[in-house]
Parts: sequence; structure tokens; C-alpha cells
Amino acid sequence: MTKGALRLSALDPAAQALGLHAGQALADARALHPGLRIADADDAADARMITAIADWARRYTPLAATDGADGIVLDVTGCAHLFGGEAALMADALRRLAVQGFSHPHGALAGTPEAAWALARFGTGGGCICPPGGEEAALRPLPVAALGLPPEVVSGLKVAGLGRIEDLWLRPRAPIAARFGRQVIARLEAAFGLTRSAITPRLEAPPYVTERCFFDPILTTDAVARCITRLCAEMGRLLERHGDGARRLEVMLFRVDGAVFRIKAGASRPTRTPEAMAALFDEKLKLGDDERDIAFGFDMLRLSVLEAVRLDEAAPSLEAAAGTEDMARLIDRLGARLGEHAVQRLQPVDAHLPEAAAITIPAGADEPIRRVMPGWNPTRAGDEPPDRPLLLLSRPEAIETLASVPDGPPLRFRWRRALHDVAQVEGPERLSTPWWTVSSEAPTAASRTRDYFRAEDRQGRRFWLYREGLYGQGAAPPRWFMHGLFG
Amino acid sequence: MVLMTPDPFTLAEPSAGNGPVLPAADTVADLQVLRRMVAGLEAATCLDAGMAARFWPVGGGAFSLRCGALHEVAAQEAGDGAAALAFALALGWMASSAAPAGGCAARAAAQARPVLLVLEAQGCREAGEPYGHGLAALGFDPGRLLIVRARRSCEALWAFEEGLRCATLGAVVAVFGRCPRGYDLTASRRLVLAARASGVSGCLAVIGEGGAAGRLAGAAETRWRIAARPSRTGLAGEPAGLALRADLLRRRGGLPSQFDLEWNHDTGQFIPSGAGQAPGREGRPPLSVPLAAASAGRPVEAA
Repeated sequence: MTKGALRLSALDPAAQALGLHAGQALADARALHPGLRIADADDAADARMITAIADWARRYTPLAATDGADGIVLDVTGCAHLFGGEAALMADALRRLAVQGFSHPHGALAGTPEAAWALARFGTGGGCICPPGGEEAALRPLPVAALGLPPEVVSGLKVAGLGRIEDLWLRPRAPIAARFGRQVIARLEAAFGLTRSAITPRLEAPPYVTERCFFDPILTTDAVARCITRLCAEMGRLLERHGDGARRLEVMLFRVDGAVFRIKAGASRPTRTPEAMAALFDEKLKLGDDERDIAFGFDMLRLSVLEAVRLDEAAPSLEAAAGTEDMARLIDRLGARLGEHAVQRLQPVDAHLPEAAAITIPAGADEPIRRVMPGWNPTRAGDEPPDRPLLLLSRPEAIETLASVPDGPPLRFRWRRALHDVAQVEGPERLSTPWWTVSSEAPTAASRTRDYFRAEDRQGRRFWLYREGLYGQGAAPPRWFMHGLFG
Repeated sequence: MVLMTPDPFTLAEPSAGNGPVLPAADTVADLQVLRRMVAGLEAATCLDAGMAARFWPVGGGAFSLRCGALHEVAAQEAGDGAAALAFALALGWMASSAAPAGGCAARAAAQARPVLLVLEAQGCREAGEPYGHGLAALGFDPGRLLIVRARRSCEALWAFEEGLRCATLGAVVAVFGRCPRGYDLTASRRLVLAARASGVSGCLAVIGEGGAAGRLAGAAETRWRIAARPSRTGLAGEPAGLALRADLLRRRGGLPSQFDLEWNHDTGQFIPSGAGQAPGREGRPPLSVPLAAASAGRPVEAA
């Protein structure tokens, strides 16, 4: 693909045995071995696979990241002892990857991400572990390519006779930096641990985690639900100890073959009651049963709190408090099945145009998003008809009208192919965009004045119509629109 | 001791004749007995929890809509959707403002309960979105409204049932574009039982198509067919507020009847059409009036 030729991007062991190498032109490789079987490289699929592996590796540590196109990097500081030490962790990871069908996974563990990168790709193979402070000895014999530098820099170094890392390491830094760029020295120092570098985890580390591993994988949804209930109980104790409540939760299901399923749930108000937390996942478990293929079972379940907020114990319970608790539970249940944004409240906004004067906000939102207007228009006196429609069309719909005088209310109009004769009408109520938002040179459609009419047809249906624009102003003639329906 | 006062919370003054006689002596002990009786009545599972509204049909006779029942509302034609929605919301609003079982009316009015509005996306795309200022103008406080949007009708029915099981709500109004698939006798019976157990009124409204009333075959308490009706003409020839014709097609234990109604958003009650601006002052009874709670254990007619 580079320089207009198709090139090999990856090889299986058999092809490597034939002496082919990545980067070779396809035509050359075919000339050597006409029987080659090739498949198009799919970078996107590769990236997805690496991402999936990084997610799977979160079973070892929350700090997992993808590393280039062909690797992942984990920060196992403080995690290794949970798996019986660094060597055991590495062996376990490599064994599991091999079981999943990845042939010959390489791994390395070192004090810096750069050193681990180099050792995993250019080291002795298997799972090599670099003891603390041993980076120098381990890295010195490796080729300069192990520093992860761009290919042109590597070839430049080779031309200069600097083939191995120790050639660089023993030389004064300034001339190298002057000739090959700062990055060579930066990578070198980072690899040897002279400067600190950290990985950028793919997902943020959750504040609270509980998990359970199984010797025998669990195979039924019921068992998963039971396990989630138990994890929620543990999580409840954990949260209580720290005085926090969970706002967003996630269950990760690690399948035996490496697939990871994640179920997220949100609570409308912070909670640490185990039953409430477990109930959030009930609906989701029922719902996603068919897409989530249990297959050979899950060998690990993890419950994490993605967002925790302070939750102080409140005095239990007057009658009203019990009501809000009930409501929160209902909102959570509905949100868990229909999506968190499906449960809404209406919120007035201080805006002039009718469609902008009311918005919907998620029912679980703490604070109203824009608290400008104190409330809804007050209810009018009993004999005064409503001035705003019960139903507002999401987009005003153009109608054809017949009016006695150009400026007057319509006598008859056609909306959605039905003809309506106007029997009674009230209007106009003139609404226009604030003058400071209108540019005088190029008035747009949205900035044109609207004259609203409340019209009732002969069958007694009441409509909210408006005429957009004024006669004698602007080039385009005014147009009529249907905007809402009164009850 | 037999308690015969209309409401256990208001003790009638002892009157001559056959009126209830409350013992004057030993007041403390009697009060304790009374309290225990009231507590027992309140605790007893009761089917008729409270009254939502009372209607006087054209032909005479009165009947009440109970809280904790299921009602079906359908538009007569596709164009009557807004009127049907307004009627359904009005039923829900009256039910949510009524007193809960064993409570007194004043307490109920002080804490009007929230109303859940379930919207099926398909139905509402065509008809439009409920508009907060319009709701407020009809006297439906949008702050008490919780809206749930469901993509499919089966999800909407599920949300409807979940709402009916939550006793904190005052009422649930579920709005569908077409006759919901899967709403049959069994499904509606489930809803009826859920409503009865919690005392939450349910109202299923079909607003997007005409003639749905004939296809709604549920076990609901009432079934209504709603059509818009020309309103009174104002002084300047302007249309008035919500006016509609309500055909009561089916009612458990009652006869079908027909109403011409106008909605008074000030009092939150329907009044019969042409009853004038202030029906109460002219001495004519309003078509529906708010009621004190029917306390548990007594027949509906005694309220």
C-alpha cells in the first residue's frame, strides 16, 4: 500500500518459515511463492481486537491501555500480589491468551512502560521479567528498534553504526539529540527510568470495585443475577464505610474465551442499598439475555462504581420521604429498561419562541439545567381559554390558507390533506425573535416575525396556526404554518 | 359501638332523633376505642380506595369514578386526538388530586400526587409533543408530571403496569397512537389488578386513529369515546377552552351514556356544557365535584 504497492502487513508462522517478512511487496512474495494465500488487512478490526483485549486485561488491573496497533500495556503496580506475584500474573495472562487462540503471545514486565515494550517485542520471548533496577542490563543488548522510534530514525541510526541500545547509551547525548532529534534521547531515558512516564488507561479506574472469580464458570443467567446480588451486598458495605453512594454502576462479565460484556446502570439518586443496586441490573439482565451469549460461561464478574458521590445517612422516614424513595425506584426501573433518557420531566425556559420555552430534562437530574424562569405560566382564570396548545408539533407544518384580507386570519386552511373551515378565531399574538439576535442584512427564516392565531374549525377542533413574516417586508411572501393542537 | 357518621374524621354533633349518639362519659376510653377502629379500617385492604370524580349523566342518576381503576379513552376520529388526550389527562388529574384511602381531603389536596405519562413514540411523532405551557394553561401542573417515552407498544404497556404498581403516584396515563398490540383481556386484567392493589388510577388513551373504541376490548372500568365539540363563542368571536363530547360506551355495573363537557381548569373539574361561567353560583350542580375520601369498608354509594 505504501508507495503504491501492495505490501505484506502481517504473516503467520508458516509464511515466516518461508522467509517472507512484513513490509515486503506482495508481487515479490508471490514471485517467490506463487501459492500464497492472502487476506486484506483490516486495521479497524485489528484495533477493535486490541481494544477488546485491553478490556479483558482489566481483570488484572483497572489501568489497562492499548499500546500501538499490536499490544496492550498494563500498570500492575500494587496488583501483582493478588495473583500470586508478578511471575504468576504474567504466566496466567499469557496462558489465558494462548487458550483464547492467540499463538505465541509475548509479554514482559519491567519498571517502565518503554522497557516493557522493548522486552516484549525484542526480548528473549516468553514472559521475561525485569527485576527492579535491572532495566539497564536487560535493554543494553537490544537493537535500537526496541526503543520504538520511527523507522527512518532507526535506519539513520543504523547507517551511523549505532545498531544497539548500548551504543547509544554509552555515547554523549547532545550530539545524538542534535542529529537524530530529542525523541531518541527522550525514549532512551524513559526506558531506563531516568524520567517518569505513565500510561494513559483506556477507561478511567473506578473508585470502588468488588469482584468474584469462579473456578468453574457460571452458565446461567440466574447464577449471574445471584452473583450480582452478592456483589451488591459487598459493595453496599464498602460504600457505607466510606460514606459514599453510587450514581453509576457497571457490571463486567468476563467470558471464558476472553469476551467481556459490560452492563451499565444509572441510579436517579445516589444509593448504597444492596437491593436497590441489584434491582438496577435486574431489568438489564432480562433484556439483554439474547444478545449476550453465555456460551462456555463466565469465569469472573466484577461490579464497579463508576461515579460515587457523598451520601450522608438521613433520618428515616416521614411519609413524604417514603414517597420520594418510591419514585426514585420507579424512575430507576423505567430507566434501566427503556434507557435513562426515556424518563423525563418538563422544565420551563425563559425563551420567547414557543418551541424553545419548554424543554425536557432527565427525571434523575439533580438540578434543573437552566433555572432562569421561576415557573410555568400561571393558570388563567376559569373562563379564560388556554393560550398555549396541549400538543406542540415537533416541526411546524406548512399549510395552505385562504384569508379574506392578506393580513387577516385564515378563513379556511388545508393541513395534512384535510380541509378545515374556520368557525371561530382569535389573534394575532405576535411573537418575534429578540432584535439583538437578528442581523439586519440577512434575515433568516427563523428570525421572521410570527403572528399566532387560535382557530377552531366547524367540528370543534382547535388549532394553533401562525403566519411567518409580514406583508411588504422582505422578498419572500409570508407563509402559514400549523404549530400545535389545543384539546 | 356502631359508628354511623359519614366520615370517621368528622364527628357529627349529637342530634335529636335517630342520629348517631356518641357517648359523652368516659371520653378517653371511647376515643381509644374509636382510634383503634379507625386504624383497623385504614389497615383493612379495601377495594374502593377513594373517589376521583362524580358524573351526572344526561339522563339522570349519578355515578362516581373510583380511584384505583382502569379507564380506556379513544378518539372518535384521528383529528380528535388532542381532545382525547386532554380528557385522559383530566381523568388522571382528578384521580391524583382525590384523597387516598383513609386520608382526609385536606391532606390530599396539600400533597397532590405525581402523574406518570407514558408516551409511545410512534403515536406521538404524528400527534405532537405534550407542551408544558399548554398543560399549565389547562390546570395540569407540569411539575407533577413524569414523562416516560417507550419505543414500542409492549414497552409502553410494561411501563404502564410498573407505574400502576407504584402507590406513590396519583395516576398513570398511557398514550398510544394506535390500538396497542398485545392489549387484550388478559393484559388489561393485569392492569386492573395492579391498579386495584395500589389505588393508582390508570388511563389508556388511543389518540392517533379513529374508531379505536370498538377495538379496545379490555376489562376496564369504563370506556370512553371522545370527540371535539365546538366551544362557546366568546364576546369577540373567539373560541373558548376545552369542550368535548364524551360517549361512555361501557361501564361496569352501569349503562352507557353521553356527556357534553367543558373543562374548568380553575377548579379542575368538568362542567356540563352550557352551564355558564359559574355553575355553582347559579344553583346548578357541576357535572363532577371533588369528593372527600370514601373511607375503607363502606359501600361507594354511602360516600
